[in-house]
Amino acid sequence: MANNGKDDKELNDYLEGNSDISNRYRASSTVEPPAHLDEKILSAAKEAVTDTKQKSKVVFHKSRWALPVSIAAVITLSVSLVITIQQETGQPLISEPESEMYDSAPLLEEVVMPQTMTADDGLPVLNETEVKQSSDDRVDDYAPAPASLGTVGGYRTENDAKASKNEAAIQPAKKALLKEKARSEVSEKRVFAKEQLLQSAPMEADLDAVMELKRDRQLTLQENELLKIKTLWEQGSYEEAIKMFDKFLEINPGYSEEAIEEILGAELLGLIKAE
Amino acid sequence: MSAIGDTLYVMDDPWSDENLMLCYAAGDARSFEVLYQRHKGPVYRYMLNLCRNEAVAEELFQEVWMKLIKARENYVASAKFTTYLYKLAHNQFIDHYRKQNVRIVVDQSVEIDDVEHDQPRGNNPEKQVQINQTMDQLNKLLESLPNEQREVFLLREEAGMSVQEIAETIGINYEAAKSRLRYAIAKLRSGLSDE
Repeated sequence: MANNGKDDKELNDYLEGNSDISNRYRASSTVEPPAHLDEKILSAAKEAVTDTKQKSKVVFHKSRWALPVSIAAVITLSVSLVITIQQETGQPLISEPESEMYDSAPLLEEVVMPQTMTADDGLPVLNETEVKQSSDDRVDDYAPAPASLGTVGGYRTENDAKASKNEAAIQPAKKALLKEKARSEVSEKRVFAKEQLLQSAPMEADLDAVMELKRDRQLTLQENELLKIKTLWEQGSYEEAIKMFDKFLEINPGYSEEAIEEILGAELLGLIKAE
Repeated sequence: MSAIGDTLYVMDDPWSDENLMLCYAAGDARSFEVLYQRHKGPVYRYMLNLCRNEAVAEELFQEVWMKLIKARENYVASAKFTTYLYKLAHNQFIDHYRKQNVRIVVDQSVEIDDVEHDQPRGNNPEKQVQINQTMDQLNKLLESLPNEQREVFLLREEAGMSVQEIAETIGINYEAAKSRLRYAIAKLRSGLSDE
């Protein structure tokens, strides 16, 4: 214990710097490393720093083109992947919305093909039964659920009754609108079919049919002219009506008087002739 | 010293070891030169007194500084630089002797006096003789110390470390470091007083 206490005191003195051991050691310990070691170590330190700077420059150059190239590579891969999948499946990855079906369905529901075109015309005729069939198919999509799947427990609110009343009130107007749309669609289709036939007819089709079609068109124009003349006369523009009638006769010298009378009426035709 | 304390120390003194090392890590070779000039003597003497072999000491000394150069980018001033440097030196010494697979034995054939001394020599021959005798005594006493006790003494004298820093450097607890230092001082004092 006494020795320990003495050693502790010596240690404390030594740590406080009051020991002659430290002084003696410091006086004797003045050895330095040889000069060649100094040179070696210092040159190694300089080289290391220089290498690091050069490496960082190289990394910087790499990073300048690395980013755009990687982006281009990603885009190329993505596009090629999409094309490959499309080719394999035969379907586009992004499909169009099917809203068109819902838009056209109500129109077809009410379409009744007017029988203005016949098979004799030699034109592609839209089959009424086919149209009806297709409209029936569409209508089925909107048909009310079967009674077996009907309302739970036969529950019906007053709101349902009101809604059905409103529906009934709107129905005639809706039908008229739909009919009008269907009619315009059918006429468009007919004109389109006739034009197609006109383009291909001179080559192979029946020439009689083409001539008839042309005649139909001319008749329509002449009829229109006569209707205009009649309208002008009824509106009191007698001079203008007479001028138009004279011009009509000049352009169409062989036009039958019966046909003119049919449109203008015998009385009006007589008056115009008298003038 | 805590990491925060060290950081403040680094900020306060631009010429601190830690700042110099950080500057070197940032690419300033001149900072390393200053650092090297400051620590080369103590580290070399630590190695020489520990190995008692000049050639081995030189080799290990060089390895320590090379390791420091390599580790510059990973250096963080979270501890005192001297602790970091002498930890490298301690590990280098241990690794070397593990690789050699030999027991650390003091080579008696190498005379520490053979190493060149740079201290100014006095003109008084009697005084010079007395100094040389004292150095011989101290060297012999140091040689006689166990390696563990010699190392803690060298760390105290050469690196100026506290007991806590010595413990951190060589990876032992505070009490063990204090005990080793106490035995070392007691033996040296006893030897010098006997002479």
